[in-house]
Amino acid sequence: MGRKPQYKPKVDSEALSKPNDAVLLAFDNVPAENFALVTQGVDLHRLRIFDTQNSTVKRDFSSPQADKFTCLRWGVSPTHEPVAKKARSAKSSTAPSKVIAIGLQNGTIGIYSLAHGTLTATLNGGHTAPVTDVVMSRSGKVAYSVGEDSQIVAWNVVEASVTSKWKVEGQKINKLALSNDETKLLAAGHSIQLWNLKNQSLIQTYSGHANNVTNIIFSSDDDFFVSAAEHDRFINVWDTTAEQKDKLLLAELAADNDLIHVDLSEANDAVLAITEEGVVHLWQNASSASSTAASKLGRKKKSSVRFSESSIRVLSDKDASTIPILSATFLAQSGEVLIARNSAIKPIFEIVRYIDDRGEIIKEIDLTRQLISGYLIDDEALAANNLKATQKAYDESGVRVLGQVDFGFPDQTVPDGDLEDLPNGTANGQTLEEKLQDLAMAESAVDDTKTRKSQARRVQTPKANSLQQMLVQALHSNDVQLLEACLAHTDPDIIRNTVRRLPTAYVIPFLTQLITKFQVKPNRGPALLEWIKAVLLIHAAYLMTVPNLVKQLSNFYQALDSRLSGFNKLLNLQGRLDLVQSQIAMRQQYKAEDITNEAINIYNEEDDVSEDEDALADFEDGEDEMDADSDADMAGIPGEMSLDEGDDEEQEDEDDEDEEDEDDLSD
Amino acid sequence: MSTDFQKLAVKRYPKVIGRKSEEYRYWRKFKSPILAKEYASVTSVHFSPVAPHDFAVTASARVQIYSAKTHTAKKTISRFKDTAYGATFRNDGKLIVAGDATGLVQVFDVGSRAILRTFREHTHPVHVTKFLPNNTQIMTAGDDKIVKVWDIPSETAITTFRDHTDYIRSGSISPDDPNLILSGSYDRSIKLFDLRANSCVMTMDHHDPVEDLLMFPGGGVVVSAGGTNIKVWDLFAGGRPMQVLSNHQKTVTSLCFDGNYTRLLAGSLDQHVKIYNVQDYKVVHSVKYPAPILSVALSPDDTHLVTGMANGLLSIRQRQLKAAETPSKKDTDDYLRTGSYRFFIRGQTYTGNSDDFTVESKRKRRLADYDRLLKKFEYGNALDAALRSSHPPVIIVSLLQELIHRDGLSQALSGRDDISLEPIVYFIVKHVDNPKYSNLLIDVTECILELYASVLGQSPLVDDLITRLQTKVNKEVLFQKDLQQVLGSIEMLFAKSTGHAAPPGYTPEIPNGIVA
Repeated sequence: MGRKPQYKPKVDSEALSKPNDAVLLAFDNVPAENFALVTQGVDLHRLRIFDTQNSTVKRDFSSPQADKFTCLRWGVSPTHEPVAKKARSAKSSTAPSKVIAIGLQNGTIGIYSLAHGTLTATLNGGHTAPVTDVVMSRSGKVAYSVGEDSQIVAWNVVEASVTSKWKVEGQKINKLALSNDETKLLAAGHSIQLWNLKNQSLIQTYSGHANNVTNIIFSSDDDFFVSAAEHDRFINVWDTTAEQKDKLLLAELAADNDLIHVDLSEANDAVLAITEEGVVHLWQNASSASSTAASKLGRKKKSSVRFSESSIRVLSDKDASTIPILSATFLAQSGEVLIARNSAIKPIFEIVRYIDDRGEIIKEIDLTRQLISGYLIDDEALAANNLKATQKAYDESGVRVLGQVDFGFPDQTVPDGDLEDLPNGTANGQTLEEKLQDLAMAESAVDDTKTRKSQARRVQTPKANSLQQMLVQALHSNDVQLLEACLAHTDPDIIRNTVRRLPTAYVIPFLTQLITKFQVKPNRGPALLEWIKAVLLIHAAYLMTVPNLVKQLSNFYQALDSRLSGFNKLLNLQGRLDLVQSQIAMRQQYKAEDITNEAINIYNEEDDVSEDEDALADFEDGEDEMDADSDADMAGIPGEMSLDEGDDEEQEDEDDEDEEDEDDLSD
Repeated sequence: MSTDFQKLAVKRYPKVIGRKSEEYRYWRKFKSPILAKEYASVTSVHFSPVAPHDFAVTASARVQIYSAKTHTAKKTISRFKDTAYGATFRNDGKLIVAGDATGLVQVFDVGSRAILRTFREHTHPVHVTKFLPNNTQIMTAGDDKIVKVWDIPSETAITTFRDHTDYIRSGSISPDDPNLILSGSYDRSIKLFDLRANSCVMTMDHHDPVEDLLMFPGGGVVVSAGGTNIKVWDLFAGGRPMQVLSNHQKTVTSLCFDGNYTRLLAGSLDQHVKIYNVQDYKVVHSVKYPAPILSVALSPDDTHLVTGMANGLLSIRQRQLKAAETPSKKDTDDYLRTGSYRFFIRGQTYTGNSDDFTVESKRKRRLADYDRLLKKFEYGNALDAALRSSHPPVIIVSLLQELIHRDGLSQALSGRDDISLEPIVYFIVKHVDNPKYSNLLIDVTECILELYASVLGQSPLVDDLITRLQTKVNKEVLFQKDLQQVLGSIEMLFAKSTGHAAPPGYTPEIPNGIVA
């Protein structure tokens, strides 16, 4: 089928409903060197263009106005020489400079040049509502767009002017497809209209989708096209040549889930579709198979339903869950598809063959890949991720490097995969950060082998483990807050260094301050004592020379002494508390054991006991009505301090007596 | 009838010396700072010399007169086209003079805000504008290195001094002798000019660009601020430096005296206002502000402390005068108009003669709740009452001590369930490591343990507290071990230092310390 010029804007764009994921995404035309991906930035949409060879971001663009991108299409620059375009298949020709036509929310279309990295042209004046789709001719000089205002506009891209526009009645168009001979245009809402571009007349209407069409692609020879709609698991293959209404539908290709993306091979009319769960389904030779099917089933007015002949899914190596495939496209070489998988933040590209050596189609292709989740998958991390040159084997090779410390640089082999045809972009994709880390690692490994002598010769960077300046300032200017800030440090190293460097003139003032604080706030004792100790130890020699040191410190000495006077009592209390605690612990342990050992027996006994208790309680209620106070007290002790009940009553008796005594006295 | 019930004697502990001096308490009375935001940094604050001591605040191109009563701007003078500087009141508080960055000097009437006089001979920003004590002359000085004295009525310059070699940012006039004018300049010198001789009569070298100048009322002593130092000069001794105060970390920008010239206030870019006693020039207090300070002023009656900061904040702190400090109305005027309120209440403050026999009404003593319960011997309830209301810990400790004296501690503590036991245990946990209370609280704890040891482990509430108490006691034990070590090292220091340096007649207290 490659008779016609190979250059065909085989483009696909669609909106994904997944959160955090791509808003729009599209592979480049046939060589599929680039992958355009629009994600939601902080306040605007940002377009990133990935190199499919090594998964790196080639271009990063966001609209200067916070306009949303509504659609995007790959095309070529209109200023490009048409001669070169025709000779495109020859390697010698300069490759046409790629552009992306971006439809914007405000009804304008931006032509983003990959070479320039900016919008080289803006087409406006055609739409008053958001643009829903754009197609560009192969030359890139003509473009057709459709907006939510149901206007189809034909553009002269070179002059950025509208050549003609016409209105589509009846439905909202959200997809366009241009035939390869550029004479016909498909406009799809939920039904598909085929327009003759010469006189802008409606040739045919294809109705068969219940929902809005999300993908529509002409075959390479324009005699059929495929379409897929949202919330639908069928791809319809339509005949463009048929005249009769009932022969329009050539075939239905059924997947097992709703489809998000469809692509058609130029070479052999193979169709691929990606389902919601991220699995690629393949049908070979959609046209020929369907045409035979149509010839067979044509009379029954019913087209054939074909299930997929092959499927590609990527499984996580950990839990065998499916890693979603974002997008896929056929490569020029027959039997190969390029898939983009993982998240929209850092897609990974991979070439998958679905035809084996004997030319047979492989039924099920399951690729086991490491699920990369080492980066934060949220929109905030997007910018950081963009800056890091992303690379396919990033994490996989990183894991391996850690084991091979002896190597200066990591082994860059790609981890195991089921298929060997991994993209060749793995070799050069190490980020600078990784390289530096590897260098550091190699260096440290070398260091270990070196003698300590060489290490000692290294210049020591000055350490910031002293507060001396701050402390001197605080003491000099009597700044309480600054002093407190100094004293808040508890690191013994810092304390020691600070005190060691403290000029002798400030030792006594500092000590006085410390002692005062120590005496005023006893709770701060432990923290302050560190400082006091440091001063006493480090400046001992100086302190001995101070004439009236005894006088200065005697207060402090007495304070310490008085505090220590209760030491024996404190030890005593400590011992008692330890004993009490151990008793409590033992009792609880015993209780626990008790329950576990004799649960059943106790249950029976308790029944009896409780009855007795009830009886007893009744009896007591009757008895104790007079003494309301003691009753209330007992109620307040739910079987808790039962041992003290006696005391309680005694005490109250005493109280009563006391009161009586007092009364007597007052009388 | 029995003797009167003695109130609970609250324990008194020795105060720690060196904290919270009289001075500290006085300056702490400048409370409730009001922060006003100006458009630009506040370059000067000046109090009116007459009551009610409103103050002029210069910031941006405006001079605002703040009311001392309401602390809000009551008048705004915006007759300058450029940044205004140094607005000052005249002695009678009726006129105000200010300069601006274009060299313009204007005299305003405070009441009507009208421009009364305009002086336009300066070519550079004028930072100093001051009335002379004779009220008819103005001294100005600015960045054109010139000091000028003007006659207000004739609007003409009387004298011009061109002795300085750099910007002049400060100036002062001797309150004693109006013929003496001081100016401090960025050429690091302070110059004294005599208007009678029309010349510079004295030069002092400050070694740093001079930011502010003050003169004591006697006219003999000058205080200058420049760099991080404040210097005090003796003019009578021919400009001898008396003191150098270097308590600031950054440039001192502003100086002022209190009402009776006993304290010196210095504001600095290090965000502190430090207050010096002028007897010994020691820092007696310091106040921290949120931004670098450009101007500080204290009202003549010592009630308002106003600070202008570099970020445009104006902080106003007020001290409420005590009744004794405010002059009584009787002193001010004893003329009573008939029909006025004061006429009707006249004589009500009559206190009688000293030899009059007075019948004193005996005030009934009001007992605190715990005292009332203590009087009734309800020890447990008294303790609960003390714990319940937020008494300071010393009250509770005193009460516990009292209970021990009365032999009523176990009675007060016994017969409690976990809910009622919790407050006292909580109190112990909180204060057991306070050396003032620990001795007593340990006794109380032991009493509690004796009473309740057999039933512990039944209430999670109390058990939790006991665990906390245990950890606290363990910590304290470790801490006291540390203390013991420190004590040891101090003793050694004492032993070494007393050998040659102890003052005669002083006996070190080591021996009794060890015994105790």
